[in-house]
Amino acid sequence: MDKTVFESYMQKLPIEKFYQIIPKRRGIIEANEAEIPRYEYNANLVAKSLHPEVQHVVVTKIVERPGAKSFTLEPDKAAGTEKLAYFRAGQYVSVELRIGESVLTRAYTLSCSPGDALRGSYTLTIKRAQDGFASNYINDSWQIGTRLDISGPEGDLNYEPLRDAEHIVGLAGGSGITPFFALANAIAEGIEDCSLTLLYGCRTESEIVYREELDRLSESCAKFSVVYVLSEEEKSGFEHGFIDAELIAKYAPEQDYSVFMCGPQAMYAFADREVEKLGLPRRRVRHEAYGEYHNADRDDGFPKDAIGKTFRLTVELADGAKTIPAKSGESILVALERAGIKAPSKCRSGECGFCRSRLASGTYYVPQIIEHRRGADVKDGYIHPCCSFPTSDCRIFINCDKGEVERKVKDMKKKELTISIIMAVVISAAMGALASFLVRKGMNPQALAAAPSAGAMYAANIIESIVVGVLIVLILPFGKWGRALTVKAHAAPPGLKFTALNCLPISLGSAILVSAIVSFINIAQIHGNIPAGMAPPMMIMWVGQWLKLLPMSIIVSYLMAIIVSPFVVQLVGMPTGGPPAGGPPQGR
Amino acid sequence: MANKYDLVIVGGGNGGMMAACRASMLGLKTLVIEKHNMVGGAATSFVRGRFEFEASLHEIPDFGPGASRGQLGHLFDELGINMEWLPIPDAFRLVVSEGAEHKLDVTVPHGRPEFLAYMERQAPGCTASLEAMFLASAELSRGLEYIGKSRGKPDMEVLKRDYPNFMRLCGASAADAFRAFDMPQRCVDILSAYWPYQGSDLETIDASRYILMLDGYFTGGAFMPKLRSHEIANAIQKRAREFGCDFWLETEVTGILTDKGRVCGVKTADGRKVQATAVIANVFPDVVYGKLLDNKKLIPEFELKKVKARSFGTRGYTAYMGLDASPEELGIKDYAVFINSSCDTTAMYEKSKTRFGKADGLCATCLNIVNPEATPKGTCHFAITGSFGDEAWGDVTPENYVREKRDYTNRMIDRYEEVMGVDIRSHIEEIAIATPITFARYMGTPQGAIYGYFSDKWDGMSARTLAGGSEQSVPGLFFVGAHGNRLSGYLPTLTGGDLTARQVMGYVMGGGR
Repeated sequence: MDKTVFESYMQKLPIEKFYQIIPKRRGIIEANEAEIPRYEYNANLVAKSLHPEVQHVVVTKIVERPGAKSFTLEPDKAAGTEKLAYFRAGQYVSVELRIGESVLTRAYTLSCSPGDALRGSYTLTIKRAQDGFASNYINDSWQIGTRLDISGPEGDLNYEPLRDAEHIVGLAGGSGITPFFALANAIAEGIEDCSLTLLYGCRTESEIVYREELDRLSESCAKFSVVYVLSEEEKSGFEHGFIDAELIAKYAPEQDYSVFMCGPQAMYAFADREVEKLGLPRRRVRHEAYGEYHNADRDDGFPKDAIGKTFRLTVELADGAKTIPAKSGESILVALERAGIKAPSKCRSGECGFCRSRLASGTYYVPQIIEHRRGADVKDGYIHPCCSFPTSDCRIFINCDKGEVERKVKDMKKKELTISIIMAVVISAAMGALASFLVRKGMNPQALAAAPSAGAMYAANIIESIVVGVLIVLILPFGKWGRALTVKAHAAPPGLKFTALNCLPISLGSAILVSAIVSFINIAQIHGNIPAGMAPPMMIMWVGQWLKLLPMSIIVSYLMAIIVSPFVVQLVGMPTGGPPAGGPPQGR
Repeated sequence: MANKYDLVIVGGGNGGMMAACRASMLGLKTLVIEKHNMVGGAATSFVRGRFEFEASLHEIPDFGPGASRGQLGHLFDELGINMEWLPIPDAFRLVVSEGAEHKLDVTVPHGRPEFLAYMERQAPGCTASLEAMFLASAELSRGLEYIGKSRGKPDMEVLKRDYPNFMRLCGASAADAFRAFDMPQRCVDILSAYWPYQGSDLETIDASRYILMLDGYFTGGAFMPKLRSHEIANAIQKRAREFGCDFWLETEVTGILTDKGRVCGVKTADGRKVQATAVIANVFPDVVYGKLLDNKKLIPEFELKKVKARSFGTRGYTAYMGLDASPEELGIKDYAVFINSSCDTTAMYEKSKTRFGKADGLCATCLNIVNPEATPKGTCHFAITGSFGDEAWGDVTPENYVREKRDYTNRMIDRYEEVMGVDIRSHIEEIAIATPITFARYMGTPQGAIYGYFSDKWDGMSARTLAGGSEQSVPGLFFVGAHGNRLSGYLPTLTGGDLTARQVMGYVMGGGR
């Protein structure tokens, strides 16, 4: 493009507007009140309400059920929770537990309508699992009045019309009834707009949880129906066996439907095979989070030489590090919890990512079915401890990361003073020596004979100079003046321009003052040795001597300062702006 | 671990992380405190089913090879931040239509010669105006370089003598500049596609900001990380750690402490205290001044007035979808499509202030076009992004929130299907919807604003840059993030963080003066 054409375009944009930019900006700003700003708006408050960091609750009611208990939780206002977070039917909360020395969490489905949250309560129905560490503790020890900390609602097993069919066929096994109980109640209350056909599998009729409630809901709500499937009993009014393809097809609607599953892990394996026979696309089949993975060391993919071993797990925390045992058959999260280390966790199934931590070293195994990590995390050494099993000694960072090179805090004032003092000593010593040399040179043989020996004179001058030099540096802010000069000249470290300007005040100031005082001392001594009446006035001698000393002093002092200062700075350990020596290699 | 540092960085977003990297490299003892369980802020991804969704990044310039490598690419190289970047085939597709019929449908290529050739075909006679635009971009870069060198205090005589065109461009809006170049309207209409990236219409947005952005994209191209923006966060964290930076995660800073009129440290929710000479806040000034700073009397009056005078930029909204068909099966050819009902950016910006009515001003992306391995075979990663120019979600409640976001998303999908003739709905296997409430949750910004402060005429890039040196906050307190002087987006916040760290170095080395 022709330059003149471009310039003609540019001419159309008035240059005067440039000068108005800052005044206009300032004018608009100054026209406002100086108020402390508001920082929370509706979006922030709704976010806090739906996703609180923690909810403090208290148990207010306990209902016995077959092999389980339902606990009603209400806000613990004294502890700071006023309201419970609203949730979607099918979501869970993570409960913090302290059992003996262990600090752990468990995820439990909110087994009630979301409407209950608005009315001020949650319900958790917790089944006593055989050998269950937490479930037995809970069933034995939670009382009315027990206070708990729980997370906000989490989880994706909920009805979403943008994704799911309007009709849901729910497959529930054992304690997996809870999300469907929540959904059924939500449908009955008009909160969710889908239909639910629930196939509920238990071993026997007596094991059915929520029997009365489900029957009542199914009768009163046209969009909900329930079928009980008993694996160990044959009774009329019940289906017998397991929830297989034939059974699903029998009760599923003619039109499009989604299958939702929640139950023991064995059930998923079986039901997935059965559902496949129905030819449903993947988007029509959804599962609850997998749950705690047991006996990973029995998997085919588990390294044989790690089976049955207990490894050392070094845990880096913000305030230190610990080494704890970690069994290969247990997840790293469980190892942390056994050791009483509070590590973040929610779903305990690999999918929520809340426990994500960096494994700095060591090898580990992740069962494929619970591998839900981000691609970059797999590459960069981040694991989900809840579903990772150690196959060697490991080192993990929990809620922190640590620099790999030591950095020391810059106590700039102290360092600056140290540098100034060292510089002062060096420069002053040089000037003391210079003064001695010049004074002796300027003496006539008589004076020289009367004067102290060269060694004594040099020593005295150097010591005096150093004392004066250091005092001067302690009193006058040479560092500040040096810095001001560099800022004014836009000089940045490192570099000759910076050093040259930075050293100017200290060398100039020292040269002038030290030489003045040293020459005074020398002249005073010499004057004293000259017979009275034969010497010129001391003042004149002093000033004469000082002026003789000054040019060389300035030159010597400035040169010394420039040459010596980089070494002094290095010695004292001031970063000059580049990466420190000994840091990691660049561009790896 | 002794709780004494040279620098504490509150919040590990793009700005905070780059600052951490540079500050540590310069030898400052640095601590990043992040309230989430990982750093990254907007630079992250999340997994649903068999899909990993990119949370925020659409594209980033500067990572081309050789001569086309821009400022950010060189910065990453200098700091040793290494990642794999995938090139995006086109700049964008822009479809302007009110109903289903396309008034304008262009697919603009990257690369200056290709771009110019294509635009000349689309808007005959526009070449001169575009060449002028690229020359203007060069003038802007030169001028900004001088402003940087003069540490925010330029010599007016030097400016007038050596950078007069820079001065002229600083005072102009993008629309002013295009008019000055005699740019044909159709050409302007095509270039205005990027308005949602700025959250401001062409009559308001600075020529400086807009033209530099266009040059960056059209000349150097744009890229996506192979493993989502989460990889960026990991890579920067790694380098910062290698340079000696410490991190506290899952820890919330609840106070910025001061002593004798300057910053002296921070305190956290769990009662820990950290001493520091300087604090960088990767947090909105509104939050710092309104909530965190212990002694509010130290805030300069001008700074408080400035916060009051400003309004928030775009609030974010994205519907992420995992579709169970490949792009080919669905009939999707483009990585990014901008869908607007009109070329009038002023009208479009006004429309964006409400969430009711027909969804408009959308950008639909299909990541698999750039990264065929982004999702399993036979599926694809699809997202529709909208933006809100006002507190359009100010009335939602926890109870109606899910219904409202579902409703808006339905309208977004309706609009996309109507204009593009592609069936999305039948293929949704996973869906997650991020609204301003979601961004408020994860980024902690007021109203879920993702672009910092609105780029008004008095508060655009030109004004902020020129005012830069003279608008200081409490001694020892520095800001990085989308609300900074370079405005929003990955490129400005990453480079801005680096620059701020260097300013902090000067402050700390000066003994905290």
